[in-house]
Amino acid sequence: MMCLAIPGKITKIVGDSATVDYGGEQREAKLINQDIKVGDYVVVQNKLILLKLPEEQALESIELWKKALQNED
Amino acid sequence: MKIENYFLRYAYPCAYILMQLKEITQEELDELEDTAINNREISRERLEKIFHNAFHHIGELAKKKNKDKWNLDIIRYYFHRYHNKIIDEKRGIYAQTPMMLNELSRVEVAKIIDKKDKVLVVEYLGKDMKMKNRNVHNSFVPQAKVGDHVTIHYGYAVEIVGTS
Repeated sequence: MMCLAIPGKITKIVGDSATVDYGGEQREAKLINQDIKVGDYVVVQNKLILLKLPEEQALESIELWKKALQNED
Repeated sequence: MKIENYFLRYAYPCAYILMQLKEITQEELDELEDTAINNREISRERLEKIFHNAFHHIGELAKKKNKDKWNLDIIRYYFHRYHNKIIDEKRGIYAQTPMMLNELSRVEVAKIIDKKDKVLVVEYLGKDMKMKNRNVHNSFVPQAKVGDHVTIHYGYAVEIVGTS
């Protein structure tokens, strides 16, 4: 479960490459901004970190998607 | 550029959401990317099927303006104006989507403030009247440079609308 629609949490940064966690699934993404650090929530599209999200907003988005996907099943 | 490809450039970033919703597969997404970036041929029927939500609203707009939905002015007006209005009014699928997604989904005019390889760092005035920054892919506008203005949709710069 990973996509532009869902924020992920940064678990590791090496140079301009960040590891982003999506509820246990890890994905690599390119990091441009200097002010993004481990623990931050970010939105990624096609392996590029677009922006950082405030934690509260990120968690709210994740919850909404979980609900939306459950309703589908 | 053909009207089908113009439409797809704006719509393609949204196809990631369609994949999340299982409306299209990863393979279809990859194919759409190749078609969008390399201006390959794609049928109107296929686009209307994949992006049925967009075409629902484009059809509505075309009817209002008494024009065909595959009219370039209609498609352009849809992405430049009408699309944001639908999001802001929380109509259709936007009624249930998270706020963060609705923000990314708006088409904004942004200024390029930095270019790093194939990534453009842009700034734009958000709906809340605050200046925002975002990183976007330059795949559709490889010639765009710092100071230029581009339209952005999710993580992509779509079209140059002003040069410095």
